[in-house]
Formats: sequence, C-alpha cells, structure tokens
Amino acid sequence: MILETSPRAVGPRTAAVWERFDPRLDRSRRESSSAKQKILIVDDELWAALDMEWVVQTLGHQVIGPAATAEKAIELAERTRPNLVLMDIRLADNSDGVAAAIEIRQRFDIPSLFVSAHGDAISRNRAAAARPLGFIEKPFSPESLSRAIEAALNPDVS
Amino acid sequence: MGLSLAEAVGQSQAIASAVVAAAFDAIITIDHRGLIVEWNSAAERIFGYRCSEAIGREMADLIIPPQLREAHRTGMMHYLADSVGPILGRLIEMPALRADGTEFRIELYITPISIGECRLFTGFARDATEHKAAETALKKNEARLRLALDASGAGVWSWDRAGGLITADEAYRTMYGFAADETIDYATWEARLHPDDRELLKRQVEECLRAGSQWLEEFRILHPKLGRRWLAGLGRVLRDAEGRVSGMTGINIDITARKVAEEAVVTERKQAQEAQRLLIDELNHRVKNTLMTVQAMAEQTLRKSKDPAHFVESFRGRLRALSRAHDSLMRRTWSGVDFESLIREQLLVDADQDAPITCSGPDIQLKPREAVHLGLVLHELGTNARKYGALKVPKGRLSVSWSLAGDSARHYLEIKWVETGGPVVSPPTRQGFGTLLIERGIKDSLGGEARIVFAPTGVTCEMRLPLPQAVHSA
Repeated sequence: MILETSPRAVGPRTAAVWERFDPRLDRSRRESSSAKQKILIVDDELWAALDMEWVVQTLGHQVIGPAATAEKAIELAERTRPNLVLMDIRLADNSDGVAAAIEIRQRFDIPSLFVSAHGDAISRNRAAAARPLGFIEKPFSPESLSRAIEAALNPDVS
Repeated sequence: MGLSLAEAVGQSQAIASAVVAAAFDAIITIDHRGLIVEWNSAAERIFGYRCSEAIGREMADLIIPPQLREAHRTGMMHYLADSVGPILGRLIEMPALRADGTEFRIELYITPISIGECRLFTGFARDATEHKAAETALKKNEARLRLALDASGAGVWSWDRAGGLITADEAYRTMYGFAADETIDYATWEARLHPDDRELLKRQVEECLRAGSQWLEEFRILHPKLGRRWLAGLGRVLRDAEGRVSGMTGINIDITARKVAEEAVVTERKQAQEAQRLLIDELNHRVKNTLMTVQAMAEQTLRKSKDPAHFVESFRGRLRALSRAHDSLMRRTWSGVDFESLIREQLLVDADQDAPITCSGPDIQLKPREAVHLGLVLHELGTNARKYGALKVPKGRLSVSWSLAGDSARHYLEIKWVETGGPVVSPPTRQGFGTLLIERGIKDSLGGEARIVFAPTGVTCEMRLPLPQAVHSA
C-alpha cells in the first residue's frame, strides 16, 4: 500500500478511545436537530480547517471551502450562499477575516461564527461590527464548536 | 553743689582723654613739624607701637611707607604755607606700615586743628584690611553669582507688591519674550502662563504670600515667538523694615530642553511598552494557533489510526515535523527559511544523513507560513517514501528539484518529487489520509496545486504554489 490510507473498520477498542470526541454523540445528547445546512469554513491552517470540517460533517452539514483568504471567502459566499460561516480572523495573504465577515453579512446577510486565536477584547470589539453569532477561541474543543454551530443554526433552541 | 571753672575744665579734659583712649579708631595728633603728640590705645593696637615709643617721633617715619613719605611732607608744607590740603577733611584710603614692617591699608580722616598759634593735625585711622577683604569677597561673590546665573540661563525678577511692577533682568525678559523696555506687572506675567498651569501657579504664589514662605514649581509659559516653553521657578517673599511682606523675588530657569528630553523618554517608553504588548499578543496568537494545530493533528490522526501504536507513530512524526519547521524558523528569528534547508531538515531525520536524496534548485527564501505548511507536506511525502517507497530500500533514490516560474506579476515555486529504485508501486484503491494532507496542504493552505502519480517505478509529486515577490531570491 502506498501512502497511508483511511483506516479500515474501526475496532470497538479504538472506537471507545475516540468516541468521547464524536460531536454526534454530543448532538444526540441534546436531541436537537437541524436540516442539512451549508457551512463555509474560512481558515488558512490546514489542520484547524480539517478539525472544523470533521465537526461540521459529523453534525450532518455540508462543508463549503475551506477558504484561506478573505477574497476566496467572499467569492465562495457569493457563489454558494452558505447558512453560516466559520471565520478565522487572520487569514492568508495578510487578509482580514473581520472585514470578510462584515462584507458577507452586509452583502449576503450571512452570519459568521468567529473561530480564532485572537481572543482579546480588541479583536472581539472589532469583530462585533460583523454582528457575529458567536466567538470560539482556538484551540477549541469539538464539543464547544458543535454546540456553537448548533446554537447559531437554531437560535430559538436554548 | 556746682563745680568750679577749674574743676569743670579739668573734668572735661578728663572726659576727652578717656574718649580718645577708649576710641575704636586710632587717633593720632601731630604738630606742624610732623611729630607725634597724641597716640591713643587703638593706635597702639593698629600700628604696633606703644604710646611711649611713638610720642615725639615723626609720624612719616613711623607709619607712612617710604615711597609716600616725601609726598606727605610736601603736602604738609603746602598746607602750612597756603592752607590748601586736598586730603584734609575727607575719608581717604591709603597704605600704612606696622611696627613689624608689614604694609596694610587704612582708612584715614585728617582734620587740621589750631590751638592758639599752634597748628596741629589729628588723624582718625582705621584698619581697612577686613573691610577691604569683605568688599573684595562681596564683589567676588557677586561675580560668581552672575556667572552662575549666566551659565544657568537664570532670569532674576523682583515684584513690588505695593507698586505692582516686576523688575527683571535681560535673561528673564528673553525667557518670557518681554521687550527690554516693556513694563511687566503681575497681570502681564500671568498672561504669559500656559492656561493649564496658570491656576496652579497662582495658587502657589498666593499661598507663598499668605504664609510668607517660598514657592518652587516647574510650569509652562506661552512665549510669543517660541510657543510653549518649560520654566523652573523659585520665589521668596521680601519683607520691609517692619517685617511685613512687601513683595517677592526669585529666579526662573528655562528647562524646555530637559522637559522635551524627558517627554521623549516617556514617549519612547510608551512605544517600547506598546511594542512589547504587540509582541506578547503575537506570541499568544502563535502559541494558541500552534496548540490548535497540535490538537487537531491529534484528533484527526487518532480518527484515522488503526490502533494506538499507529496513532502514536503518526502523531509523533507529525508533531516532530511541526517542531522542525519551527526550529528552522527560530534559527532565522521567524524571518523566513531557505527551502533547501527545510527539505533536508524534514527528510534527513534521525541522523539519517546518508539517505540517497539529491536536492537541486535556486536559492529560495520561504516566509514562515509557507515554510510551516510546506514542511508538513514534505514530512508526509518523506514518511511515505520511508515506509513504502524509495527510501525503504538501499537502492532507492529520491530527487527533489525546484524552479521558479511565472512573470513579473506573480511568481510560482514548482517542485518536483521523484522516487526511483524503490519497490514496485501499485496505485491505492482510494485516497489515503497522507495523500489528502499533501494535496490539501498545497491547495487549501498555500493556494497551489499538487499532483501525485503512483507510477510503478516510483511515486512522483508535482507541486506548484504561488509565492509573494519578496519571498524568494533567485
């Protein structure tokens, strides 16, 4: 076999090891459900994006992206009209996630959920202009991200 | 009972003699020949001759320095001849001799006396040495004070409470921008004060007048030509003969240069603190992002692992690749890293310096972000080559070559990874996680393209990624 492939059937022991991290379990505990939604991931870090994709997919939603730059994020938002954007603040090519979130909100009325290592008050104040649905600080736990996504998609479910 | 005339005269003479004897000044009387007829106790003390030694001696010989004796004698003769005596009846200062031969200065007042036909001269003399020394010291002190004031640039002022006027020297006027003939009073001075400091200084002055004390303050003025200036001021009350506060005097020194320097230091300190804060924020951001990467790496590697041993091996390899990429950047203080060094550090791991790897391409400096992502991609390719490909067998070879492409607007780094001599390769039936990391690392994170070909002779991977202009040097 060339290049490491996806694991075959996951055995019960391995499943027991990582099922604690499965956002689906978290979701089922809360018994909330939402129809399949499109979620745009904007992050220029591959591993963080992979982690977000996994959470989004296991919640049963469709991943759009990821986009590594503000320009790409706006282009994808315009073309695919997602229901929600998971937005990092500092993006590739020195582009700005806050500016992208504001433009996406203004032009397409699509809300963002910020997911960033910039957890300071200045960044949050700046981000407030995009009227975001939340702010998740990196490194995030899959559980907290899945809860925030569900809350953002189902604002009426407490 | 009254005194007789004779008794009264006698008593008067006794009083006169006592006064002469007790006088603080030397009282010397000479006759028309210049011979001493009177020499009191003070004369003994000042000139060092006892009365008995002096009486009958010519005064010129005794106490007048040799070079002045003839002038003295000539002057006496002229006076006796025509009553003209330019030095008589006024206080003069002249040198004199003591008994021990030392010369010193005296203040002398000579008055002619006539008693019947007898022409006498009485001199009142005082040792002027101390007076002279005090006067010289005072002049020196004044000179020093002026020098100090000039050197410090201090301006001296004095305010008369009753008249309301301020008298000031040239330095003070220059400091405040007052013309030489301009009248200065309290209101004029107050108008020059900076509005932000005016009330404070007025309170200080009023308190000083009330308490009869002094004030010391650093304050700002608005100079009509130079604008804002910083002054240090000291003021003390002046009192009249009855002890009432009659005004105030003091000095001002222009301390603008010092204040500007201090303000510059404060500004620099603030800028340094701000730079430090930004640095800490940046560090915090990088640490959190790195923790995010490590956490996601662990979660996603675990998700794709067959068993714990597989997880540990894969996760540790990726963590070390990340660490090596950071090491490379740290050595260059996060300014960037040379591409060939990055390749060697990611592929020649665990002291495997003899691995059959050839690198060829121009010098290229990668920025931190590109370096970290490309480092992780190289790690995935290298791991696969060691586990399944060319680096698994001694005859296997790996060639990594790169070049720059594009035009003046956009530059691309084109990398070609070619494995030969390894085990026969059969294409995978589905995309593996490693392949996904390579392709997506180049595509999603670096905005480039990657194509992996599983040829039977060996794996090849062609990558093309855009580079900012400043990143490379051909």
